[in-house]
Amino acid sequence: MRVFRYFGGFLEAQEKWLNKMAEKGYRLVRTTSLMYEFDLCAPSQYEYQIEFMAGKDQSHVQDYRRFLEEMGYRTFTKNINLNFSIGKARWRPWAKGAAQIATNPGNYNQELLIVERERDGKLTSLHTGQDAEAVAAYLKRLMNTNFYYGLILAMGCLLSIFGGGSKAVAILLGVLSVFFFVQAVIFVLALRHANNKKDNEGDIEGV
Amino acid sequence: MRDNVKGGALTETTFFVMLALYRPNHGYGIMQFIEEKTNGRLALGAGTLYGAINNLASKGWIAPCGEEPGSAKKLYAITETGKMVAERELERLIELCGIAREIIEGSGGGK
Repeated sequence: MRVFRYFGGFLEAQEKWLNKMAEKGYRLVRTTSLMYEFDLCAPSQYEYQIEFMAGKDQSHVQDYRRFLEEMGYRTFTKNINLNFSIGKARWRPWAKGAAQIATNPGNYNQELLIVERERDGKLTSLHTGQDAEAVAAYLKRLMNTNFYYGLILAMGCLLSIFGGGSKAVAILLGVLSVFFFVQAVIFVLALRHANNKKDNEGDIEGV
Repeated sequence: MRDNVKGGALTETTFFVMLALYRPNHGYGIMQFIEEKTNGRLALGAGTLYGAINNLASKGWIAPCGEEPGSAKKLYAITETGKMVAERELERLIELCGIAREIIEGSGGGK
């Protein structure tokens, strides 16, 4: 079964959703940037956790995945952002000349690791504490980038309307700009959520 | 929590991982060892264990020692340096236990 979903920066919502699917007897077999593919399994046979891997270099991620697979877990990579990258290349509209095409460092488009394991009643999380600060910093960067894309495209849209450009181009640019603004708003909300969580954790530790 | 190298105190996780590696073992084996020895009191997350193993390996207290035949799982073992650190930790804990006993059990005697 294929399901189209996009969770952006809402890591917990994604985790909850995957676990709900597992409770109903659906096991994850494949992910793409917008799609999750499931097979049937016994209800509540598996459980899922999502780990934030952005900024870690590729060899580290490979090594960690191998370690988890040796533990008997299964792992999937997942993107946190929707973007204009083909493989490792990325378009940077604000740069000059050839620098507009950047190569992405590390694990771009694979910022998340979905870890599946058999539900054995022992609920141990992968980590004693997730790195909430790193998550917040990353979401902030995504928010800024998406907002910037949205702004550039909106300006392009206005230019082609008032500059007498073709209607089709104006509509296309408009739609794309709305898309990026919506993404930016999603990241703003996710960031707020992440910051709240960070503060709460701080309180508990402070007690 | 970080290991305080100067003072000699290791975290419980660190010490247990080192003890689990007095014979070559893989990640899953280390986890089982710790759960067994503590009767499930200490249950490490896989990510935490991974971090502890890498941290100890970079310090040179443990080292990779090939793969388990058949399963190709990565094996680790404690090094000579690691053994020295573990022995020192044992001495520190014995001393600590001695002091604690003196005060806690001694005070009950109404001395």
